[in-house]
Amino acid sequence: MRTIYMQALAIVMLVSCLSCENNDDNAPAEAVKNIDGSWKVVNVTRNDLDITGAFDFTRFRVNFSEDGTYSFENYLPFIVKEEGDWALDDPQYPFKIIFREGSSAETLAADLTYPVVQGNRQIQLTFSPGCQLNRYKYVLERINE
Amino acid sequence: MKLTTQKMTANTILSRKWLVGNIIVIVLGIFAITCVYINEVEYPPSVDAGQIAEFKVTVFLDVAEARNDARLVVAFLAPKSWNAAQNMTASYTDTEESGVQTMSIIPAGTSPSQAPGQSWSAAIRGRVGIGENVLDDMEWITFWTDKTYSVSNGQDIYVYVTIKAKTGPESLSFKPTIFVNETADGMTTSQDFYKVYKGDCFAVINGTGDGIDFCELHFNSVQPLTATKDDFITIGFQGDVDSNDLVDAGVDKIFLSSTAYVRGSGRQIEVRDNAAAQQMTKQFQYGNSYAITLWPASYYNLAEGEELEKIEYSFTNEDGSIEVVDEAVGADFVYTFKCQ
Repeated sequence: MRTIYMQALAIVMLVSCLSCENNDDNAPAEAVKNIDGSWKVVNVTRNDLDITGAFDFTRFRVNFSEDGTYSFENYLPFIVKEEGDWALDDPQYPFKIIFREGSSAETLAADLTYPVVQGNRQIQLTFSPGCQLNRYKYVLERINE
Repeated sequence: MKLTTQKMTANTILSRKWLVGNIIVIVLGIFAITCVYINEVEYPPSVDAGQIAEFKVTVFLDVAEARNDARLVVAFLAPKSWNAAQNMTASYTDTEESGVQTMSIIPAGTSPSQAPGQSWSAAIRGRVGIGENVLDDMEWITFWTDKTYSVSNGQDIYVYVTIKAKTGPESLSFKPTIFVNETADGMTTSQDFYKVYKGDCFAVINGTGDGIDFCELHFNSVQPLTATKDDFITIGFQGDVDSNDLVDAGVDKIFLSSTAYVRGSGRQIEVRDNAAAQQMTKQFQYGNSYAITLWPASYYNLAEGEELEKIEYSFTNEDGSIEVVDEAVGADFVYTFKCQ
């Protein structure tokens, strides 16, 4: 009987301690996502079909600058064609990256995820450069970290 | 010392009982669940383009253990050109309640319980692919019941699902493929808890175009079926479909020979010099399947503002002396650029 009491006491203490750990005031703030730099394509899918090896994507670069501008090298179909400005919809928890070409007032948004895969930070952009029925996902890795 | 030993033994026995009891509970929770069957699927052999096609699916649920708050999931593989997410509905009746019940497309961002991080459509595509269809320009449209259900052990439930789809404007044929599962055991790997139906060819007739055949392989294939100059399009040559001059001659360097037509102006752009950029890549070590993926705006060096109407193409050897064209018409294959 004593053993059961001791086990129950241990569980209550454990639960209590776990509860005490939840102190939101001291929780570290989520870091602002930094995508500055030059990015290369490491994977491309078209309508969920991998076409990375079917086309030469190796020379394409998209450069996100700290001043909020972007540019391309060896352009390939992308959500925008001209150089311009970029911004994240939320600096800490971004789900979209927003582009504005040149002096245009119109903005275009690509779905964004920001995973770390095998130790490498990636950004994954999903958009339709041509027909809206076709969805492309570009997986990019930074080349000048 | 003896007393201590007895206490330890008693505790050990207690622990074993506790352990065995809990293992049984866990095993029952994992394995004693609802078995799913597709008993029958009915649909007409063809329907006119732009009309409603109706697919009736009879699902049988053999409940082996009570489940709470579960939804039935029914997914349909449709040609992308149907834009089925906007043009398809699903509803059902069942043996446990009266009246027609509604289903909705599973919201984006919802993952099956056994495939975290994946959408339902991606998880189904990963497991079932495009069924027995041969062109990968299809998408899984996933529905679930708007109601959740709690079912009891021993219940036998028949669910009669009706899927209605407004067909696209073009003539085509494909093999309807249907996937059934339920959310309590979402994308579990055991085939007791999900089923796949792979049907015979269904045709959309009297539509635009020459007819796209998802059911059978042809010498040529192009994906995606809808595209603009700023898509990547993949043109394939399946040399093993039937006897042909290129394969019969033992040619192992196949080239895409094509002419693009600019919309409006009628300007023609010939790319038929069999340069390296036009050589197709062999897809597998064995066989005679070749493909080339190109960005039309760049491949045909279009001027700013120009759009493509179509390309006419054939497959040739390096010097162009041997050529495979559309044998049905004795001329080049045609790919029309359209984006509905």
